Amino acid sequence: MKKNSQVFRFLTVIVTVLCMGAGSLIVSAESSDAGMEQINAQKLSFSSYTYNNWGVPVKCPDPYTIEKAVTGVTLGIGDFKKPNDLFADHKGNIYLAASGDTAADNRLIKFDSRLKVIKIWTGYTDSSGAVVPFKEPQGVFVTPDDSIYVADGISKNIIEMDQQGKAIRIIAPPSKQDSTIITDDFIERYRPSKLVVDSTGRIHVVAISVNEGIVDFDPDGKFEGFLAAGKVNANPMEVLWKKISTQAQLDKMQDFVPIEYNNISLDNEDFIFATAAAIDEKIVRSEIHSGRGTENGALVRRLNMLGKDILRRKGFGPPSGDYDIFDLDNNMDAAYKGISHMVDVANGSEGTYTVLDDNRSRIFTYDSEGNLLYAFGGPDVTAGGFRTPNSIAQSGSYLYVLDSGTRTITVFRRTEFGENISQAIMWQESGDYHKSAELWNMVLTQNANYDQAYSGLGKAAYRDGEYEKAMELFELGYNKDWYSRAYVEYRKKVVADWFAPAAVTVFIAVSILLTIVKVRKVITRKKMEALEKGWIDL
Amino acid sequence: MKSIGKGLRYSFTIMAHPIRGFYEMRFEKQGNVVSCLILLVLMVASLIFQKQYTGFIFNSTNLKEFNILLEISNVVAPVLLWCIANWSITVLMDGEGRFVDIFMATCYATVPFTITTFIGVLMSRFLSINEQTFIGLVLGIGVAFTALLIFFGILTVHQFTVMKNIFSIILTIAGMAFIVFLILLFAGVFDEMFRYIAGVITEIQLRM
Repeated sequence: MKKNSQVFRFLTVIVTVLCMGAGSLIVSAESSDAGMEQINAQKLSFSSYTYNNWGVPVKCPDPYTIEKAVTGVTLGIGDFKKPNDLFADHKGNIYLAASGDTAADNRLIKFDSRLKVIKIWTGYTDSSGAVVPFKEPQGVFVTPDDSIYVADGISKNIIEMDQQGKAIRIIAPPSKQDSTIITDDFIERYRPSKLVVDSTGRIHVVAISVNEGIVDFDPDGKFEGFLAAGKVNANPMEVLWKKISTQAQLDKMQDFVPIEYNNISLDNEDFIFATAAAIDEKIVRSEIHSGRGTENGALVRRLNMLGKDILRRKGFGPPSGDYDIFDLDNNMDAAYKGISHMVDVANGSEGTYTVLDDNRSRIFTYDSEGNLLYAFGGPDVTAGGFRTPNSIAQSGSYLYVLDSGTRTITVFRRTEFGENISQAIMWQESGDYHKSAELWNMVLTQNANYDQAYSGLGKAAYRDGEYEKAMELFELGYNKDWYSRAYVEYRKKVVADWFAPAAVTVFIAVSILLTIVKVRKVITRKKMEALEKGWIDL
Repeated sequence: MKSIGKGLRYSFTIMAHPIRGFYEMRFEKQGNVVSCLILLVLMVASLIFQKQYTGFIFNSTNLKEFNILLEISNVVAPVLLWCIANWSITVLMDGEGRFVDIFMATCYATVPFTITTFIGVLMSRFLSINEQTFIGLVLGIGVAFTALLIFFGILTVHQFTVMKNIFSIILTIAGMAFIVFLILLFAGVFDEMFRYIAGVITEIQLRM
């Protein structure tokens, strides 16, 4: 039986490889349409996993399958030389900002949800009707009312245009007139790369080699200030060392680097998710080693309008990607070392968010409390792996990943397992705990080791007032916070049930004791009296 | 048997009256070594108990990686190291305590720690996550009491003044570090030596 399945697997691999080879041959030789029917629901070649309470990876069923993968060549619109940013709008359309050396490479492409090309813009028409080509489209954002914002890196402009490519306005880079904090050096460095526009119309821009924070423009396109400028956390030891070191030593030392954001995304509650680059690896490691993470070592932040990080970190560890990096670091053969390096974040509809790690090319999905739901992908260009992924977008049950190394967009579709989890969380967030419990039970039939499912069932039991059962489930899901909550209720119930009987028992016992003591005293006194009066002898 | 019971009970005398208790232990033959060994075993037991039976909310032990031998050595090694280092130092500082006295004083001093550890385990099964300060408080009292008892134990056993005692304790800690360093050094050297010998043997085997 076992041998049989091995043979079967071997055959599948061969067939898949042949199909892929044949598919790409056809595609490169012929037209774009052949590419559309390429790979159909291909399985991932890396096993998906979650982390348990001890930071040990536990395999889980694949949350996604590969729907298909396309390149500019397979689509027949020419290779994407430097694909920069993917964006999924509210209707499920996908936008890609790509740049390159020639003018034709700098373009913005609109796809439908199945990656069929709808439209290509290589520039915008300004008010005089002339077409102005893009210089370097680095990032794209589309508002719910379909106006497109493009961050044009080299020209330093942000272009707002309509679906016809007509410029609505052009937002110039911040200048010295806007604010005294803008220096010549800043204007020189500033190269807008990723952006979001929130529902009030404020524009938040992440720019390459700007570490002052996120550049904010008000709804009129006027520079407003920097958001979430990274605090520099100097620890006392380092300051002391800096004080006593010589200049030559100081030059060799690393500077305190404030946080530089490298990507940005907007969730459906209008909060900004930003991924941070250049975080001190030591801090991240110590947070992975112990605790649930803080703002200091955060690779992903959820920022409010004041720039305060409000991401909830209640999981087994910080939402910082891979934990099992310590063993890998000792392993000399390990090709990929160090902590995860997040390059993009995409927001799901249920408060979940998915981050993309370009160190090991993995994708991590967290729920709104910071629990890791699943991780998948891998550092290879086989199915479900990437070379240098740089952007991710989510639209419903589809996930789009852009790999700038292979210049490919891969479409993932949720499996039943992934869909059940997402539905369960959705019902949980909307308060229907019975429906969510049903779905969590289905998840458990697919993966009995899935801790979050036990926690989910525990929450349902807690809502129903079955605290003892909830405690059991939270223990299985290793959820100490919720266990404690359920325990407090359980304790309350036990105390309430037993307080009256216990109090009555104590009262009765005490009164009996007191009576006995009193009676004995009286007897003794009577005896003494009798002795004194000589009624009795000893 | 009776003397062991008496020796164990003597730890309460020491907790209530540390100076007199340790003085009588040193100079008037109160307490005994067997009961001290039992106290040490109890301390190990309390720590194992803590790992195994602390309530779910407060228990961060991975029982899959739990090793009783490691727990034992975690208690026995520091105690022995402390006693040896302290004896070596105080012999040079005209301390009046013998090795046995130092060992006994240390063992008797661990009693508050052992008791509060057991209490902490019991509390952890009835408290929620918001009330964990109480457990911290109880455990903190245990550690502080034990530290105080060790201080007075060493002071009384050697008949030191307070300043001299502080000085001797600092030296003892330095001595402990030094012993650990020596052990590591020797382990390294012997490791090298054995590897060298093993290398020579394989060489000979291959050449023959």
